[in-house]
Amino acid sequence: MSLAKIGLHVTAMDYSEVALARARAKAKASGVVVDFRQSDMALPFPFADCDFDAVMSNVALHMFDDQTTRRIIGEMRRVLRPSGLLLLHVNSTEDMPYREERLGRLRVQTLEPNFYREANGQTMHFFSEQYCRDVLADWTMVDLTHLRLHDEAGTIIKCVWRCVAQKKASSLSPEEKTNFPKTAIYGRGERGGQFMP
Amino acid sequence: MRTNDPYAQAAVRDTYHAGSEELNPQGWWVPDLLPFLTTAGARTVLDVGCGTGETQ
Repeated sequence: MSLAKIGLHVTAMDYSEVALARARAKAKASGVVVDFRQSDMALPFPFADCDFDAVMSNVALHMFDDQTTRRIIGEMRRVLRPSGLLLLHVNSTEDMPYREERLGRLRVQTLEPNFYREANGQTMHFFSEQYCRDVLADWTMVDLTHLRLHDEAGTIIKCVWRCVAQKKASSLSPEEKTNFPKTAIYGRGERGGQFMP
Repeated sequence: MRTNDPYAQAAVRDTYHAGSEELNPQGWWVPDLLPFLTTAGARTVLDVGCGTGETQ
């Protein structure tokens, strides 16, 4: 909602109608306009080519096998305008033990390297740095930062990669390619506070 | 849950989101991405996998 509050036009999609109902209620209560759509991200996105300046996905892209992940990123590229930005937070391979300890979700089936089915049926893909770079090889990497999130007691509870990549376009000027923040916004790559999974 | 599903189906996600608790009460994620959006001059944003709306 925060992006809509500052005047950006936000379109938000999710697979879960339950989640969307909660999101719609919050938007209404906050008085902000968000265009919510129910859609499975593993299927072609219901948007035209080059529709968006930016595509964002926070702790959601990491639920799919390698082939599906690459297909989704391809759809993200398709709906982005030339030089548009892709912004992601995805679970890192380092998160595995923290996730198991925090949520008590045992990995019950290995589906692919670093891709598991958990006891509750959730599927979870943990990204390595190499995997982030590989799936975004056709993009211009703007930022790739590993973040260790911790609670108020300083205990690490979650590890993610923040990836920001730019859709390649031959017309980009050198200024456009380099005019992004150069340092991790999290400072030392860590951030405290309460985390709810 | 079907064990041959390639990824978790909507029912798994519905169960996950059925509670009333805030899933990201600290508002993580977006504040750290905002400088990039601002620098790029982005006006239209697609949030893929928005969940209950705390991610945008």
